[in-house]
Amino acid sequence: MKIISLYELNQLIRAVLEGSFPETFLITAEIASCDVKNHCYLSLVDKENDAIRAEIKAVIWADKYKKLSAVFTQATGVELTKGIKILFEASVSFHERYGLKLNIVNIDPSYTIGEMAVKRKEILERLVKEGLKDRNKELEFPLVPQKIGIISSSTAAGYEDLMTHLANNSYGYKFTCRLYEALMQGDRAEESVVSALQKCMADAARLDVVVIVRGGGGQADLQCFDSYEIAKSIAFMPVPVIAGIGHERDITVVDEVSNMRAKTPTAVADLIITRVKDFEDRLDSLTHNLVHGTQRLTSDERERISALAKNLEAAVRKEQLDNAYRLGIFIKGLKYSLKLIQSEKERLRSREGNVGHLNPANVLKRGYSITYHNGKAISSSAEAEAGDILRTVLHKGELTSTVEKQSRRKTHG
Amino acid sequence: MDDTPSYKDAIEEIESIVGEIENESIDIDALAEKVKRAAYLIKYCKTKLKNTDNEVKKVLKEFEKES
Repeated sequence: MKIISLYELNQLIRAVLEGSFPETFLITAEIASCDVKNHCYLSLVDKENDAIRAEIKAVIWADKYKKLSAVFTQATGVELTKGIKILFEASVSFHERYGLKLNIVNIDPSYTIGEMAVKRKEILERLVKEGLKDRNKELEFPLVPQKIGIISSSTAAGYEDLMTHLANNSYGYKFTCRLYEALMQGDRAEESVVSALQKCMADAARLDVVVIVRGGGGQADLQCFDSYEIAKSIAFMPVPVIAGIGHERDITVVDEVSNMRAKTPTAVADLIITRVKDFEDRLDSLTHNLVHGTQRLTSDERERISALAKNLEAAVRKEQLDNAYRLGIFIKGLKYSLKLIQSEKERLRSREGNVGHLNPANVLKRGYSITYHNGKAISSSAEAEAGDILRTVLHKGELTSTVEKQSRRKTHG
Repeated sequence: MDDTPSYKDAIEEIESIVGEIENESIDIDALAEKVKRAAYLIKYCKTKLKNTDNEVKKVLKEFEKES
């Protein structure tokens, strides 16, 4: 058997391989690792039930990589990173020193979009099945979100935007913010965000709301936000979560499970400020109603009192008038009765004159006398007999005498 | 955390007082007290909205204690 060098062997392998696979292939695979050093070196796998059944290295040469990755990210919203599935066109290449590699010459982003959509759909279905999807949505959004837990990277532009916007709100509201540092992209993002969410959960009693804000700027890597683990942590968060990981195109699983979502960190700040403003407006309108209601009540009451006072006055006046009238009548009556008394007096006086003539005293004055027999005035001689003692009353004085003779004579008149 | 009412409780109380006043179901004898109470709560909420640095510092300090 002929001895050959390794180089000679590899030359043979190369000739066979490249002779057998002269054309390119359309292949689907998952990126297991991705390392960009000018050129992009990939490790691709094919899994069945999570078990790797095939693996190969691949490369995208620098000139191709620039163009392909830009188109890919633009279309899918994710970068070529670990965990995503791609459909690509590649040729089989073999290098004597570097061995077997797929040389990727094109990537079809629509396949990845479809794959991501499928993955997202599966996660959402699982969340629905486990009753987690709307759990955070069902929390009542706080009336006044002032204590804010922020999950972000302290170096992220989005975090800066959020903080600046909250601090410089034109109404002068004060917010208490606490950052729960997390990696917002890359391989470790999912784990890092979950851990930050758990720290948040421990502090939840002192937080009104939790916001998740992401980078901002051009780099789009939303892949880690289509995560079951992050979604689950959000679902169990006892305060509402606002997602501000915004992307023009896609709604991630995190967006779906959060209480609210906003496109940008600035929009998150606006949402919070608006909420507080609504509360203050409500306070203002209540203040207005309180003042007016009170004024109306007291002015109604004042009117009632003044009406009562008026009524009282009128009643008193009427009573006075009535009394005065009645008094007038009395006075008139009295005057009339005085007149009556006067005329009665007159009449009496004139009567008296007449009566004077009848007065026995006056008769006696004129020389008549009254004769009593046994204490009784007598008017006939028949009432006494001779020998009777009579008493005669004169105008002045009395006489006692004895009857000598009695004779009958007709009475006068 | 403190013995002051929450925003929610405060605004509910204010709303109920204003409601009573608007429905004129309030006793004139009680009016002054109720108005005073509502005004206090409104002022309290407003202050809390634009709460003093002190309060913020207090809360921050609480955080620091924990971590």
